[in-house]
Amino acid sequence: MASVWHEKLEEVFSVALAKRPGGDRTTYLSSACADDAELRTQVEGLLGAHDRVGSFLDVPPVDFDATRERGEPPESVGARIGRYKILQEIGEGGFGSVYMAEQQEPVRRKVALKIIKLGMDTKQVIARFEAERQALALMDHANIAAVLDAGATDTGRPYFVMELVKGVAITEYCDKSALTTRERLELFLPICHAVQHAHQKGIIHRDLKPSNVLVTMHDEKPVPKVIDFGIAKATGQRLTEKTLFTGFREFLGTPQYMSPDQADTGGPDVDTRADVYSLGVLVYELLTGTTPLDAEDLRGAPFEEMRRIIRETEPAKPSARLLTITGTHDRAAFTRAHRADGATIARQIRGDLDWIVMKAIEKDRTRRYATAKDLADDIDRHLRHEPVVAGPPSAVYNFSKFVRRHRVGVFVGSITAVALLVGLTVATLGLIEANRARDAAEAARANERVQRTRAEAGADEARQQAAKSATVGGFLQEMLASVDPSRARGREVSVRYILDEAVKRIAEGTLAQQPEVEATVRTTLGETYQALALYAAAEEHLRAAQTIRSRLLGDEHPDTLRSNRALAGLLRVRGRFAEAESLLRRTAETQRRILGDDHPDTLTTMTELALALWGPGRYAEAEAIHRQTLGTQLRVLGEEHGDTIESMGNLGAVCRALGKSAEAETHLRRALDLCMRVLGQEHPCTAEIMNNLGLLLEQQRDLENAENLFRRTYDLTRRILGPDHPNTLIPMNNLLRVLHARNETNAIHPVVAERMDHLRRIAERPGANALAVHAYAWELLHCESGNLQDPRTALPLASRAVEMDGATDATMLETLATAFERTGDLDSAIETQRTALERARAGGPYNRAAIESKLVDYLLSKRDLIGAAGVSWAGLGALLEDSLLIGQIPGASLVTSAEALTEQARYDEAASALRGCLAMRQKALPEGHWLLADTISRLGAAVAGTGAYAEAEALLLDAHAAMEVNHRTPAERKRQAAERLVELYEAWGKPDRASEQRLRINAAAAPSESIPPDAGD
Amino acid sequence: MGGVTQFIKELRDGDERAADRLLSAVYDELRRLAAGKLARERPGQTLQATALVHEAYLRLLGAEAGHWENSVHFFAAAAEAMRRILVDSARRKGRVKHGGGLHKRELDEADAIVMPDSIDLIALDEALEKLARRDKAKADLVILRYFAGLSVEQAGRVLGISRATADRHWTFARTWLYNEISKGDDPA
Repeated sequence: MASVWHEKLEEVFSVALAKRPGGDRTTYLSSACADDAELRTQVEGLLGAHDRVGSFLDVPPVDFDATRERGEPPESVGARIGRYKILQEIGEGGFGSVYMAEQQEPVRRKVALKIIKLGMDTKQVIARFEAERQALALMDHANIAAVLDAGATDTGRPYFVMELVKGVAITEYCDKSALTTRERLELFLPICHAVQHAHQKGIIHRDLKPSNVLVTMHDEKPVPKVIDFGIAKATGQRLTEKTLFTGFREFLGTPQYMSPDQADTGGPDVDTRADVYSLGVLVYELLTGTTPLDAEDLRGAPFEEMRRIIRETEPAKPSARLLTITGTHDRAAFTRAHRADGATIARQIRGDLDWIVMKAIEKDRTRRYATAKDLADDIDRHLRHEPVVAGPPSAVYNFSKFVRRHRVGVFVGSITAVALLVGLTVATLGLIEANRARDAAEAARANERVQRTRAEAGADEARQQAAKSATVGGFLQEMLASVDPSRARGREVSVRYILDEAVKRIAEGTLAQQPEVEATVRTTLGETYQALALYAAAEEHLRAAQTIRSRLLGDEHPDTLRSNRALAGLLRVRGRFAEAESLLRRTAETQRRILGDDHPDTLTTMTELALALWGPGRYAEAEAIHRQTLGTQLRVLGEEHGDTIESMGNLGAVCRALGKSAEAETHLRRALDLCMRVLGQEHPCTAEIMNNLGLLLEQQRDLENAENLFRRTYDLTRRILGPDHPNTLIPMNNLLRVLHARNETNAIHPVVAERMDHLRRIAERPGANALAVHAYAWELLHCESGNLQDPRTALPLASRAVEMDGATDATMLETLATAFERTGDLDSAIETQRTALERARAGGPYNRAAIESKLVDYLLSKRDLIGAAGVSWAGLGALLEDSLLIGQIPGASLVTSAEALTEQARYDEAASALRGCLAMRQKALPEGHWLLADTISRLGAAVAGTGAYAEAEALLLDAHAAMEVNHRTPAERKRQAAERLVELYEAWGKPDRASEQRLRINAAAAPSESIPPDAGD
Repeated sequence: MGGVTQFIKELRDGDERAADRLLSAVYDELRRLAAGKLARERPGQTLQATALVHEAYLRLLGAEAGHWENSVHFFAAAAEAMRRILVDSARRKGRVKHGGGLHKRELDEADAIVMPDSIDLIALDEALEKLARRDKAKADLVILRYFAGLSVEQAGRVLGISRATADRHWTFARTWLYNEISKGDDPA
């Protein structure tokens, strides 16, 4: 128990503190301490101390810092390590220490010797270094410090020997020498060229950061040198998924310079564009004095959270960042270091340099500069006042992110697998829908197509094949015929229905005596299901066909191999790229051996392989294969063959993705010409190439022509596939994105409404596939025109889509969860989201972090903290924030992040964080709780930041009024809410109302005498 | 495992001796975790106290984490354990410093912990003792806030006081401690 006197001390102190210093306070003290001089002395002492207390004890003390030397003794001067004699220690860092040393043979020279700390597997480090040694030796560039040697000390620590560079980190040099923006960029260019040089020799640095780019003086001119090439790779461990608890910081490199691709895989998939990203961060820092991602955020964050930040946090543009430098000290330092203040530099940077830097640090590496040289060239163009390649990223990028959510996606690269199937399906679809029943002639035509494709497939066994095809065709024809026209009248008969009937027949054993025919029928069924996006069913049949053929014909029979290819194609479409790749590699190898390199089957498999590599973004490998395949096809099949044209289109598409715009354009235009001439305009292939060309023009910022192309593609696909076919959405989405980029607001809304209508029609068709139903449900939940959203309608649709898909697709499950949540069924939302996460973990191109964070949100809204913590580190972060406040203050983490966003002037994001927080709190708190008003007030401030003053005013007034009514509102919050109103009116240009409001605040402050009442329960 | 939840249960059932056992278990776990960091951490990486305490929280309490009453006891013990680890370490380092020279000394877990230069932990600890003699609740609040990394509100919840009271206590205690410590530096 506190002593009575001590309690009195606290009370008097607290009350006095709430008074204004001066008259009020003195008066109060005189009366409160009337008969106790000691009390008064102590209170006055404390009040004095309070003014100086600052942040004392506010920051918890514990920081684990593994960079500390842990008693490893420094190498002493004169000691020998291998062929080197230590002269002196010249540096020390997290990795270990650097010494100046003397090499005595074969030549006498001074070198830098870097000794790595204990704790690494020395043997592996040296083995990895040896593996790269030859490549490292090939590097010869004035701006690269050569790495000469590696070895192990007597105590078993690995060391590296490098050319000795006496210099300071580039950031330090620039600031100390007070270089201008131009001078900084000029110093940066040779670094890009050095990195480019290394890349051409096959070396990726992997750890570019200021301390690895030193500036040394040469003839009184600064020369930057990149050090440590090859060392990150040699010492780096692969970044792997660790368990929740041991997952701290097994990290290679320095997080704020590390690209999302490197943070995610850290391993073999890292390519030169990881270095381009790091260069982008470096130039960002040279221009603004800060890194794009906050070093403190990253340092403090748990492992998964750190990766999430790297992957998802969109940094402010450099010019915007400059305007957020706060603190007079920081401002003065910046101005000194840059010879101009932040606002001036921001004006220089805005536009070109913003775009260049943001393009270099794109999260998606395919959107970055493809090479370090491209980055250097663009900077050079800027310095010469020529137009730069980089363009404003925001509109296109943001909207393309939106579009990416539609799983319909872009049909780049899907040509090969789909072309045949679309033909088949369209024929079947057209057949059925045009006549509502079957017509003998049309059936025959469909049958003919089946026969033709089959016949093309195996020239050498033509006769046998034809007979088989007849059986197959007969089977399908019978299926079509089995639909009774009288029953069909009045309702549409779907392909799905026919397929399902066919499957039933097979199950009944109709084809049991003819396994070869069964395999072919199943292949057709599988491919048709695939075209209808019914992937689970497709896989079942393609796998069955493959198994039958392998058993019947052996693993090396051309038909079995073709089955492999078909199955792999499906796996690719389902996002199981690794499985697809290994099956395709095996298949291609056998086909080469049995059929030869030039056989059409081999080439088809190679094309499929390239597409499987395209999926996970391995564009360079995909490009090489497409290029080689195209070469062979040109030689063997000639230019006017459908396969050749497709390959040309694919190569163009992959070149576009790699940023090789000129080459992409050549291939795409040529392929489009050929396509129109050979295959005719009304062909899916034409539409697809046209679409890809549109994407290229969009990328080149030729938005007007891109818009034209997308409109043409849209019309074309509508004509070929029919207005309700899901694939017509692809050009429609592309068109929408370009319209957004061109700010053609008036043109957008009709298209959005049309899309909604379109999605509804497709979804409502009998036998509509899961994809179509899902797309409509998604649109109902997320459509950008709020008045078109309708969660209640979306819920049963989303549920149906999941059911049809067999609950295998994480995105569909996620949509269903959203629908549950939006209709108020949080328990089902959580359960469904959990299933989505499981599916995402099993594979597929899913953004797991996004699925996880939503699950955490749901759990938090239910106050299931431990559940949330179990989901991910993000959940643990939320636990730290909220664990003890549960029932009191949900959503605190969102408020914190909204504050951070507001500071960075990212008002839109702040507002949406606060809306989320408000939604959570509205569920958790009783109506009228002051915390709700506080949240609304903060939201009002964020909305004011976006310039929507009228909306902001309404929010702020509401919040303020609610606080006035509730006597439990802490005075401080009330004051803040009132001040937000003043700020609003000032920003709005209404000084009268601002001063009116201020008067009210002062009036309210004066009579307040009591200690704020307890706000707790 | 299971020990900690068992101790907490005993404590809740009124067995006062369980408090010592709980403290000792949490203390050991924190030291063990810190030692783990020391051995495993790679260069250039730091870890915050909150993460450590909460890591111990999830580890030791497992599925029981999140139960309000358990949290109270756990965080009380963790804050005290962390205080002991840090203050002991500061004392040892102080001795080394006073001994002068570059004597090699054994590594200990607290070497993984970096103290802010501006705060003299030993003086803080003495001032805290003094405060505890006058008003234990406020000293406990500071320990929870400072050594377990809880927010003022969270610490208040552990101690069963309202947020406003916790804020008021915090303002007072922090000022009082500051005043107490700076008296030592400044004879005025």
